[in-house]
Amino acid sequence: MSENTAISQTETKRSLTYATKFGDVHLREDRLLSFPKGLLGPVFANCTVFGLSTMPDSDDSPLLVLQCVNNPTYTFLVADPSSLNLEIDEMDKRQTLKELGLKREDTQFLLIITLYEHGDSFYLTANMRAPLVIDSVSRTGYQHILSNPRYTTQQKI
Amino acid sequence: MLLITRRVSESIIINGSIEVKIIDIKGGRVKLGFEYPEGNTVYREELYRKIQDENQSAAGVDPKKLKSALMGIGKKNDE
Repeated sequence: MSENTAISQTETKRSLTYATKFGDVHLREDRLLSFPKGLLGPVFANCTVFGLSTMPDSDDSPLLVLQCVNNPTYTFLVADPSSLNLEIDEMDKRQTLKELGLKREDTQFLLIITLYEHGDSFYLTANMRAPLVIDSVSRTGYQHILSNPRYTTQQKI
Repeated sequence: MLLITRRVSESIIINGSIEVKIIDIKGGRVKLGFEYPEGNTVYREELYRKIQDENQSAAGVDPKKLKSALMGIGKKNDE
């Protein structure tokens, strides 16, 4: 009996390691996120299971690694808007939660990060128009397009 | 592609639950009204494509360039 318990504990804490282009990330199997509709776009509609990790070799980076588990070629960088000094308005958050049928206290918003080049320099942008909305209780996520046009897909950070 | 001709104030019903109504036609532009149950989404095609493209770019971030971009952020804060 006690042996069984021990086994099931190690099972639930099992972690998966992915060698991403940003370094190795370790994802706990019981902490994976389900995106039933994937991300937007025909290529990404099949990315339905993700794991979230801190940036390898960096303790203080606001960027997180979002690794697709069922289609491991896809790795995204994401960030909490507040860690980038960006904010999605309360009213727009409420509207989003209503559209998705989620409860506010259980949800987290994350922004997908893209890198762009300007001459010799590089800069990062955050997609504020289509954030990821994650229900932390059911561990389910959605990419949701905000109806308010004040948000851009390429907010410089 | 299914083709249906409609006049102003006439509608189309999709899947028994989504209604698309022709509100107005003026100067080569059509104003459409949508009624649909919660959980469905309606977007302008351009916006939808823009976000698809953005996802595509986001999936292709080059880690070397990222390092350089992050140094750029540090510089900006020092100014």
